[in-house]
Amino acid sequence: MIIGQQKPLDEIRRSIADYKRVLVLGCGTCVTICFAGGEKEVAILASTLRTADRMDGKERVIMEHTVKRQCEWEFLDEIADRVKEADVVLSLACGIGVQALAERFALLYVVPGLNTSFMGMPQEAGVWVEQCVACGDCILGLTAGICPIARCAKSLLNGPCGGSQGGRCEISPESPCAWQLIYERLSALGMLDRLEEIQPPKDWSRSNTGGPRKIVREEVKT
Amino acid sequence: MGTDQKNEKMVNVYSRETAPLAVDRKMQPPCEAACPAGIKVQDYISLIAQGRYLEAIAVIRERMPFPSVCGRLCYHPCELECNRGLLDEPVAIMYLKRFAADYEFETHPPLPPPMEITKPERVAIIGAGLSGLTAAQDLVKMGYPVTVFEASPFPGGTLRWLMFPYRLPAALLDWDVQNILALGVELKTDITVGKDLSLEDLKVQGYKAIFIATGADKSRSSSVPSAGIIAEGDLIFGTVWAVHTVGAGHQAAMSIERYLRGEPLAPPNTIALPVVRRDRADLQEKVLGGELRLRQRAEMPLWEPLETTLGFMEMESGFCEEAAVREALRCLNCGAGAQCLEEKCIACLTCVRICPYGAPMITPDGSVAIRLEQCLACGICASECPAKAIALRSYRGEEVIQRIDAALAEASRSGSAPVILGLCCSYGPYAMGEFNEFLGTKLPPNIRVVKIPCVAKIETNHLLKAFELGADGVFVAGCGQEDCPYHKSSLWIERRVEATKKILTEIGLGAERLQIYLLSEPLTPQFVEKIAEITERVKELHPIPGKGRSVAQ
Repeated sequence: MIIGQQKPLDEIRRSIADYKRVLVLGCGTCVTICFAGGEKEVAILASTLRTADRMDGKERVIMEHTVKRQCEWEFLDEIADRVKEADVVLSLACGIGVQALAERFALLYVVPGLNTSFMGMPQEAGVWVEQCVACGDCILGLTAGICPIARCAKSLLNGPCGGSQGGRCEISPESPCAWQLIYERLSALGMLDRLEEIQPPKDWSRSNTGGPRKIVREEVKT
Repeated sequence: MGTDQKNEKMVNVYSRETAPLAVDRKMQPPCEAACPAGIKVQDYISLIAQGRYLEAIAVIRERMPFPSVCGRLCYHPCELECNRGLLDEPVAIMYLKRFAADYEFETHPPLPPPMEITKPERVAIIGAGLSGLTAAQDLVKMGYPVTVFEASPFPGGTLRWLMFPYRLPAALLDWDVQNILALGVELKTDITVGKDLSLEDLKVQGYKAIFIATGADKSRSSSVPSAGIIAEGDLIFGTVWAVHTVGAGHQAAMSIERYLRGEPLAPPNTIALPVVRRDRADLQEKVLGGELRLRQRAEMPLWEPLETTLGFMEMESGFCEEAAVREALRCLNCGAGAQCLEEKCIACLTCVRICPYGAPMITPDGSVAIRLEQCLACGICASECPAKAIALRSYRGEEVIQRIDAALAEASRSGSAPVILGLCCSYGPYAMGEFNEFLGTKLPPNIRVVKIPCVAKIETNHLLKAFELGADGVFVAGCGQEDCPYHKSSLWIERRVEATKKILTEIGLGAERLQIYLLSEPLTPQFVEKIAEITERVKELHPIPGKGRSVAQ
């Protein structure tokens, strides 16, 4: 799932400073689940902005709405009229939703209210961790289901680096060393011999380096 | 507390109108399922726990037009089935009903207005006993013109002749009858059908349906062509408990309605809702885990012997307000708990992770279901659900903002400053007369209070909205965790208050404007102290610039 986090309020306020009719637009899928941009966060942010505006003596209209998913043309078409009433849309979707809005509504100014943080999962209620960078060439089968690209600070293919201490990453001591985790898991699986195989440089051509990636499936195209 | 006399300061702050409920039941509480009259027991117990006694009696009267009788003389099958009985003792449902009935009798609110007659078919009811008057109430509420014929000079039936004042004071029975007649039921006493009037006469007079509700000691042949005649339970089965007689009255009213609408007389096959049956081991585990507390059932206090023997008065004095509210709080809220709105649920699993009672579960098909057998209706899940996909039967989150708006508008109109909003618990001491009297008569006009059934249901957005809508200061007043029937309620509201304070700091409004007070008893003096405290704090801060009602859409 995509995990996002609301931008600092100051930044949000600056980004909409010159506009008189603001639509705070939430997204009902990933960012709702991670408490960043669903209906409730829309209400909280809109209310905060109204109070802040009043304190600044600023007269403007802050509207609220949430769509099921901002990254679907059909859901966006449903709000075409609503969007027309705004001179800026403050999107609480991930970057995909923001771009979808911009592409669908040529004359609409859209600003993001979130930083799209990563692809990850809740480790427990209220704690999310990154698990995948969408490199396009999955190697989890080699690493006992633990991704060193996403979870090792150095994205090493042949780890560990030797700098970890007490199972913690030397770059980010909050995180467990991914290679230590890989070692422990392979050990438990009786597959430690896998580590003897040296991994050649990874094929990064399928990653996000050569322009936007695209998948076409003829059998489901309309 | 048990032997206290009734608190004379009980103040009626709620109307008699019952508030609409947020969602229909998916499961029935066992008390309601067990009641032969079909009283919405859990609904009225919950209202008593919140001090909403007149609403409670209105709920009772819907199905039990003789609460004074049934609050004293009933074998209370509801209590036999009460899930609380698996844990310690059943909730004292009958006595709570009596409490609500006595409260209403003592406060004597205006009688209900007559119902609008919307249907042409006149209905005759023979016998102004419990079943006859129950059917009369139901039918007049459906819009039928109803006349009740009573052979004796008084309505009330067998009860009036069999009861002694020490069991059922006659004034209470009169009051119940008045409440029925006020709906527009016509009563004709001293007319014996069969002697003064025949069934044929009634037909000639234009009655399209006749209900013979003359009780166990009478018999009658009933063959009048073209008028529908329904005979009641007592006549058929002999004398039974009042609650059954009332149940028979409801059934008769429904049969008459079906007859007059040209439908088959047999009741349609409706599928009864499943009943919430809790598990004793699970409840005991919750006690061990500290999620539930054992609480002793309130005892019925007795009058001093001298007071009762002098006038053949009844011996039981009835619960005092405190005993009633505390007893009502023992209810486990079966069937009133959280319901997952499938069309909104995105299976984020938040409820599964945070419920203090482990009620939500993942179903085999991957969706989320909330087990009402485990739920106590604390509302924490509904407040935390990011998709607004959880509803509780007796709490409407959307309404909170409207109530906040109305309260702040009232405070602004008063012209005094600073405008302060209190979001208070509605249970326990917050439900009782002393506190309500303070709110009603001594609360400064710049301070207004909105009550919420447990502060754990207050959301961050509610707090922010209060500032948006013109509050200079906001406080939350709840109970200490020790006094709260719900687990972890104070933890959640404290977290939300903290989150809101952060936002207030960020926009330069200042975290000081928002306070949370978890108060114990005696409530009112502490409350007085706290409102003085927040008023002083808010006065010290700069006034909020550009204050006024802002543009919200």
